[in-house]
Amino acid sequence: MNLPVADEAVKDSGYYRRLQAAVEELLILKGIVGREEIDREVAIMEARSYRRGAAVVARAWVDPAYRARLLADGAGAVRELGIEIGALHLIVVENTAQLHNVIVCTLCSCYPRALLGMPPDWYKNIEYRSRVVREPRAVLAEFGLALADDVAVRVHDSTADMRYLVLPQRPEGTQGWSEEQLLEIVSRDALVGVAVPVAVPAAPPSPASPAPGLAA
Amino acid sequence: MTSHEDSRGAAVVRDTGTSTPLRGPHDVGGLPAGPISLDEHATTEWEYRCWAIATLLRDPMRGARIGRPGEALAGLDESRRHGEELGDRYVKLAYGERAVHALTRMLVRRGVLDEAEIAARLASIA
Repeated sequence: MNLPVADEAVKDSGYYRRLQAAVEELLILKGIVGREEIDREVAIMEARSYRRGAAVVARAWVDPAYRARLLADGAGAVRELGIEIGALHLIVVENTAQLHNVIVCTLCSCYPRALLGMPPDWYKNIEYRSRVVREPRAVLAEFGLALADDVAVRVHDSTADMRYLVLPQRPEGTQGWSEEQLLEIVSRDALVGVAVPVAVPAAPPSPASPAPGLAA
Repeated sequence: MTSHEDSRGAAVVRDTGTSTPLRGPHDVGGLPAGPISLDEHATTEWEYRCWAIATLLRDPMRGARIGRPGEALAGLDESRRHGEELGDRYVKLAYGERAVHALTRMLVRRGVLDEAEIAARLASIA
């Protein structure tokens, strides 16, 4: 192929951004795709966020029957909340006091995008994909998650057709919280399994400036 | 090379080296690697548009637009394979860059676009 590949100089000059634009323009000129069609697909992707996954978890925490359905048939249960994941299989793996789950795609970057949005860079990079299957505790520690020795770690390797979502443990101190409050403490990283939710109340607004009379 | 049987009794052969053809550049599970960078970049417009185009082209109805009814003009597995064929260059490219590379290769290999017209168009883009 005459077109260059992986050359550092062309990469730095925005080569792949320009190549994408060239291919898009040609496909539009040939009537193969329309600009509006592309815009629509982009809007669908941009609308996907980990908050969908967080909503699934919050529902499972407050509704034991939903939790049971979620663990038995992940795709069916997320569809109940209006989330469409297409033909993919979805397995929801539940953390317990004795078991912590974490997900990866060692071969690629398969990720439950319909529930979490676009994967973060670290999920796609070689280091996480290489190491989390061999030394998950060390990797989790790099994310700031120290697990007790008596908690087993199970690593789930995704495939093109099989995606995973972690159902974290509902933290202590959240008795009586509403589904909306619970949703707010479920982070993207907790849904991948590199973090766990904690019961933190909303942070008080930080003072923009010292209170009058207190400034030195 | 090691082999054993999995829980269903199927033979499992595992390449234990890093340089034999059995392990492609993408097949990194279990290999030693450095610390994980937690820096994240927000997905850029061109990355989104690349994936949007690939999604549209995977529709088997798409080929009808160029007289190839019933034919998808892109494939997910094919896209991965083009990335994996980068060999040592695989790790030099970011995920979104591999996606653009793969989309371009797919379109050329399928005869939807040719390299000369892509190169000419590319020259007109700042």
